[in-house]
Amino acid sequence: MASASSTSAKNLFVDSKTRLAERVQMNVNNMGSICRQINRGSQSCDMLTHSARNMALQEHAIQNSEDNFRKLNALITHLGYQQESIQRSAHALENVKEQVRDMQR
Amino acid sequence: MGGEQSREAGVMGVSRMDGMEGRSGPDARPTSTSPRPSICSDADLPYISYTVNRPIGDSPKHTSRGVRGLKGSGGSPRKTRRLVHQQRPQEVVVVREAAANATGLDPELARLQSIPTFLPIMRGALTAPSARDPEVLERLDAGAMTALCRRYQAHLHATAYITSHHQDNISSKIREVDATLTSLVSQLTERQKSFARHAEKLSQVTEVSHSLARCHASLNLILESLETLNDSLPIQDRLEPFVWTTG
Repeated sequence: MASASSTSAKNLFVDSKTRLAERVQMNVNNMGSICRQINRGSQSCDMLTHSARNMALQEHAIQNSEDNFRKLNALITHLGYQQESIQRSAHALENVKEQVRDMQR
Repeated sequence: MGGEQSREAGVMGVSRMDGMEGRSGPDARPTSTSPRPSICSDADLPYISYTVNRPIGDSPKHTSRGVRGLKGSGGSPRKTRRLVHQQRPQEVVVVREAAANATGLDPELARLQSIPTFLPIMRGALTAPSARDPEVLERLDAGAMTALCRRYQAHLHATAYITSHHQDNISSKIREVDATLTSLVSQLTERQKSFARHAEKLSQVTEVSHSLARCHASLNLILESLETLNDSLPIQDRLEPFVWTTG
């Protein structure tokens, strides 16, 4: 039987090999299209890219918030200084009242 | 070789050659076998490629070449086969040896090679697929597979929806935080301006106290000088002692 599959007999089975290969290729392509359908059908990719793009657009808002935060820090220090000066002035006011009382006597 | 034999045996008679098909009986000369009418068909044996490429016993390629040089005696058919398997045929000249994959197998290729050998479901249906298709396809049920794929698709959709929903919530909260921060900053700047004005006004208190002290000192001085002046005058011209009446 092995001697019968000589070079000339081999030519008979080249056809079946190619046909088998074609069928296999067809099956593989079908599997690929199934996977593509699953991916496209659930619009998972679209939704995720949409929300990612939205997130990226918030970059401007986040930078704005950071600037405002720094300004707030500066404002807080200024307010602290003013509060101290106002407190000192309030204490000095008491002294002035005493002085006026002294003068009136 | 078959042509030579036919010429030699032409004297003996044509009848013998008709039956021989190229092989002389008493000489037992090993000749190349002409292809017999094939008894196999595609439908029965679709995997002849295995027997062609990987023969189990002797293959016509190897035996015909090996025996040509050695005039095959009866005792050494095995040795000739062994020698031929180790040597290459003389017509083949190796220019460059095949490069083995020294860097290791590609992971994708390794995965491909780890796939077990399997037989297709439709064994003989390569030539006439239409005839066998409904028979075999009835036994194959794709309902479970489609249900699985549908479910997976729905799962992907649901999880992506949930994730994008959360992400959108986060984005809106970021915007909200930004808005509150801007309003806070504006409020505090207003407050800071008004406090600056108040502090400036209140800081005038120190100036007032300084000027008050000076007034006080000068007033005392005046009172002293008033007294001395009054005392220096004669008794008739003295004024009444100075009393600070609060008006």
